[in-house]
Amino acid sequence: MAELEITVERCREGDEDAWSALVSTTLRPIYRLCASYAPSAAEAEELTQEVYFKLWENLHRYRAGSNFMAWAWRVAKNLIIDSYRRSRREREAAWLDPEIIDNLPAADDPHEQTERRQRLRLIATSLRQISEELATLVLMRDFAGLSYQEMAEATELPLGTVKSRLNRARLELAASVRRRTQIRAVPPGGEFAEGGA
Amino acid sequence: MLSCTDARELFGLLLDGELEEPVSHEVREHLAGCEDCAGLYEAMEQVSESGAWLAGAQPPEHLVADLQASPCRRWLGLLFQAVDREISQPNLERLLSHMESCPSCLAAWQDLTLIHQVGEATEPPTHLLKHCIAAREGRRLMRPILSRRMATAAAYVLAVFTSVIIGNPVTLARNPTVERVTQAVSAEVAEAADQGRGEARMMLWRAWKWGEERLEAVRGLLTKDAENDTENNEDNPQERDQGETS
Repeated sequence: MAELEITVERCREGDEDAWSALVSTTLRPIYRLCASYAPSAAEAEELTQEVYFKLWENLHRYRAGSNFMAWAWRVAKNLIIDSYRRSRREREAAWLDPEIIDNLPAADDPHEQTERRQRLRLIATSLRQISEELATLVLMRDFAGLSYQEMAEATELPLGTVKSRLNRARLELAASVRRRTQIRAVPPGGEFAEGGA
Repeated sequence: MLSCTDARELFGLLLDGELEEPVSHEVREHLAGCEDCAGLYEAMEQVSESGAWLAGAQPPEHLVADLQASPCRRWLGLLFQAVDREISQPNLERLLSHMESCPSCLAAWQDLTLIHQVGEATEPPTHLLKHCIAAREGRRLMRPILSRRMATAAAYVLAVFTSVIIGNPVTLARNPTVERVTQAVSAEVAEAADQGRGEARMMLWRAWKWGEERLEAVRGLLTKDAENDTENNEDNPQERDQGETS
């Protein structure tokens, strides 16, 4: 991370190569964060570019010595909030993109692929059933792979609050998936009804 | 008369109504003459009343239902620790053993793992790096307006329109230039249909349906105009004759 901070400093001093290095280092996590919000893969790309434009535009505002990635998350989050104020129902998650699902391990098995696709759709629908704030936490942690510390800095919440809310978010997601599974197919043995998540 | 210390020790029993009458009377006498103890007793009474109210309070129905419906809640706590790789080895073994017999916990584990797997597999497209580096130069160096899929669909729609506007496709197809264009467009469409996924196929299908509808509309319009002309001529033969004479 210290290396990243040095790169940011060089960018602020106008080093052109440093900007390329900064983008290369941070592109993957920032793209994943954008993909967790955007309604399609194409929009995730556009959003990522917008985020970098904002980062470049506001680089002078970045406080030297603070965590660059946390600052980048906040910039991305604000931009995302502005871009996607529309109803959540109108958008489909970019991470349901078939091309991404097809690249998962053991994707050669068509049966496995179909099941995964169905399961991901079920998860996406269930995520829409819980509050947006909680769904965001699940996606930040489990999809985008942010650490608790990064989440705390991005959401500007205390670390303990992030942990407890994420726990609640995962519980609600599991409960929502379970409810939908029960609605879809009542199990003959009633395992879900009794075993409840 | 009771001292403050002695009286205060009896406040609890007095509140619970468990003091014998002579002792109770003594405590009350002390309270009447001691402002500090009276204040303390009043506060204790209020706390006691709140406690009584709380004792009557019921947990929300949804909480009861949630807890009753989710006996695995405690296991899910361990499961989330495992997802975050913060679980101890003994707890992991307990969890794995529980999951063998609990399909819903197993499903919750698989769901979170699946989200994680998809996240891991989500890589930025190769061209995005160049665009993001160029982002500092402004917003206009963004992705092209027409993607390959859109371009294919547009070419197809154009082909449909051309055939509708210019004339009979069979006649046109005999023209060598048109034949070459048709082959090129067909190859593009076939490739998109073969290589493309659900979205591309849907786009082609919609473009086809749209083209068909437009064609029907134009045909309908032409037929209607022709019918109107015939009707006009039949209904007003005199006017027609006069018109011709004049």
